Amino acid sequence: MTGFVDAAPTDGDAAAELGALAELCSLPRVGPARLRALLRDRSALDAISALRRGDAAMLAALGACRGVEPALLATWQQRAAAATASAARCGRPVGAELLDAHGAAGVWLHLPSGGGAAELWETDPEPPAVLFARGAPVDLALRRVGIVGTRRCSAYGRTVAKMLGEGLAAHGVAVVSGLATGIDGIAQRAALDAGGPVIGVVGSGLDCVYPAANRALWADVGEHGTLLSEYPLGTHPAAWQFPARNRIVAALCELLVVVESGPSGGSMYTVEAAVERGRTVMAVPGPITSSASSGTNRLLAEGCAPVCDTDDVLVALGGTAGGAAAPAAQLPDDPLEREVLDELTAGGRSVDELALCVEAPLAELATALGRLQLAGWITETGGWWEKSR
Amino acid sequence: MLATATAATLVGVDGHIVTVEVHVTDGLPSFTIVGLPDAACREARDRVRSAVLSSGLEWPPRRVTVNLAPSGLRKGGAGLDLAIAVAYLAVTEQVPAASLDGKAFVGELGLDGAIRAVVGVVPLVDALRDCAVVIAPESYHVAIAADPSEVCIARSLGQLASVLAGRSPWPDAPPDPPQPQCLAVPDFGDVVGQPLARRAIEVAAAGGHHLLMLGPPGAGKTMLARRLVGLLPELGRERAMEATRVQSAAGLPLPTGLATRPLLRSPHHTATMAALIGGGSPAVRPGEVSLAHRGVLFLDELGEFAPSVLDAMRQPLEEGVVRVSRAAGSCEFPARFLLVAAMNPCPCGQAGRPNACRCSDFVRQRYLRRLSGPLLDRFDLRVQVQRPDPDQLLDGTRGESTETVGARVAAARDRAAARGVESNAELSGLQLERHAPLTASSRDELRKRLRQGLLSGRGLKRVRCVALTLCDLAGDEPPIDAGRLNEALTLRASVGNLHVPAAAR
Repeated sequence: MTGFVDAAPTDGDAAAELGALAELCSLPRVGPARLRALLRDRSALDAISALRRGDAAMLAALGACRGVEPALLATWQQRAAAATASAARCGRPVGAELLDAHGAAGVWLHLPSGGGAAELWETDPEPPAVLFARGAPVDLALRRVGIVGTRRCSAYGRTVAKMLGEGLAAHGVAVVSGLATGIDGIAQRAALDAGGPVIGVVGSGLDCVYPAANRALWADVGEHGTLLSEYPLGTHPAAWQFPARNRIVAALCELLVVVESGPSGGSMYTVEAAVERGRTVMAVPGPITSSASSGTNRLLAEGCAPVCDTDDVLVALGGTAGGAAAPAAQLPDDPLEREVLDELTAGGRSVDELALCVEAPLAELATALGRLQLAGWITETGGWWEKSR
Repeated sequence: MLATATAATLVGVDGHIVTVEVHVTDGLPSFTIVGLPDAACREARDRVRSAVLSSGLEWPPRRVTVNLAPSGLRKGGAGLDLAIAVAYLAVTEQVPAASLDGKAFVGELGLDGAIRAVVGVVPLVDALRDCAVVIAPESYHVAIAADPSEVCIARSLGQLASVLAGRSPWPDAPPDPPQPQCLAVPDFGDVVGQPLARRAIEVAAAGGHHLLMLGPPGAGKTMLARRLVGLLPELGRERAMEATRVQSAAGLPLPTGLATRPLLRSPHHTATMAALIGGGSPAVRPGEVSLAHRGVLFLDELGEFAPSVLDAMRQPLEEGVVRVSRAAGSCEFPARFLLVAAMNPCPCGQAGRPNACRCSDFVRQRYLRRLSGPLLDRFDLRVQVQRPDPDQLLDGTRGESTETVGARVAAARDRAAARGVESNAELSGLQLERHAPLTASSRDELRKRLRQGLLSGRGLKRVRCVALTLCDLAGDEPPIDAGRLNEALTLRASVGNLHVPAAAR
């Protein structure tokens, strides 16, 4: 069965082509755009041999790319020559050693241009030439929803990301995201813990964990889901690789949900890429006073569909709602607790601020806060109280 | 010909008796001091000779040897000048040798023969408590704080020689110095608004709980710390003596003699290990943790202190003493203090306010990583302090005064004393079980929190301790109800949780 993201065939000629592709990816300062320029109208094997020969037409075309100076071209030529020479010495195809190293690390290569995913990438303005993957191949039938958001999220964003991740996992919908700190990581962790499929797209080599705090999540996605990267092993993260990664998140999902985002940043880049590719974008409404929700609220104002629970996402995917929505939680009876909740609606507050707003003695306020925290209404971090649902 | 005089030298914060032996013989004129004197002590040669001559006394050209016994003990400073001079006068029969019996001499000499005060009078006089101690007049009021058997004063070597020779009586004790006016501590009523911070300060004073204030610069953290000292009760004689010894040994001014008011020490965040913990060479000096003994150590901008320096405080925080070891020997200083620290939870100055703080997770975590978990754990009270509300600042209302709150604090401390501890913070787990029983409802709430991972086992004990102090302040009897427990929990912001990356939660 052909998968949506699956291992490229590795017999004979195909293996030689894959090896050459891996060599090209590993050339210094080669990103998706330069890789496309290298592979314009020719196979990877041809590109290697053209580089080695110093094909004038190719070099002229490459030299016209922004930032490709003659010294870099010369380095590429040397590397191509060295790779060919070393392959000839061992009597193996070009890049076979690289392929072996990736195989030993459990990484397989996926060619977007072939197999079940060809249709997906056909119309893409910037398709990746190859994807390095770890974990299970992704089935064609799998429904995929992207969940993205800011790295500096609020307690509200954390709660929503977790809720959506769990909810989608319960319906077998794959969560596609970038494994970053904040919303991305929380949604994927929640989906994994709920036993759902996850697809993580990262902006560095699959062995260069970034951010380091998500090491465990990174390993779990590679084991129980699918971890994808455009870059070969050993590629360290660089700032420009993350927007490039975001376009793959946008391309892989059928529908993109922005949980929390400021007016600019990586999430907004993903939204642009998704719109460009004709994907539906949905956003989670947030308090108008919260800077973490200013971007999502603007998306809503511009006509993007709101996400108020997991069912909204499932309906937009074309499925049916997952049964009756969970009943709205009963608001607490205590008037002081209600007042505290109202105060926290507009954003995080310290105890001092709350005490002034609700004009209650500290001991009573403390009791109200304690009860609300135990009931899961609010959370506390560093002396700041935030509403969590 | 030989004469001896008794004196004392300072090692750490303790005085050690030194016997000064002076031997004068015929031979090439010379003046030697043996018995491990340091540089300042060796220079006594020149001071003593000049002082004797300036006082109209004689210095015949003979061979003078001074031995400072016990000779294995390193002697520092100029405090032995007077004893050397007096023993010399006795050996040259300018004063009767018998007049030195039962007396001790502590003072530095000027070239004109004047007797000057020395550092560490309290421990020195304390070591010499069986003798009549002769000292400089300006040290008199500090010296009597040590409660010795007798203190005599002399203004100059000439005067002392004439007293010892029986030609004149001892000079009268100097009049009491005027009580300094500035001792009045700032009033707690100046703190406007900030209910949580006020409460935390009161609880810290009452229960001896270490306090961490989280807040941006300008929120009044230093102001709060100053007022905390005013809330602490006066020290009893024994405790005051412990503090006075250290302060005297470090050369701090003691305007009231015995330091009965707890002291506030606030070292700058560039303080080195030796400055904070104690150290120095060759004479080991007490550090800030010891100077704050029985008082308050206030560390502003806690995150800017060197992490190694902060971690070195963990042992004194636990044991109440600090042992400083050097090649030359080791000293033990008392260090039982109330630690009050202030810091911004992130570098941007928004104190981590949700959605307003512009620091990335990485920056925030790196900032907090400077503080080790075990150190953060020592803070029973961790509260958010913010700039007071402008309306409240301007409408002229004042908070409760130091007098009112201080009375509650004193009452709470009395109840702690009845449990056999200085303050509730010192209660052990077993004592807590006995003195701080829980009601069924508070037990239930604690169980829920422990289950949800909102509280650790150690945290549970500390929260219970703080809740007991809250009971004491209100004058209630245990058992501890859920309200007190929740208030104690509110006074304990989760700084440690910031270490946990968001995705891992």
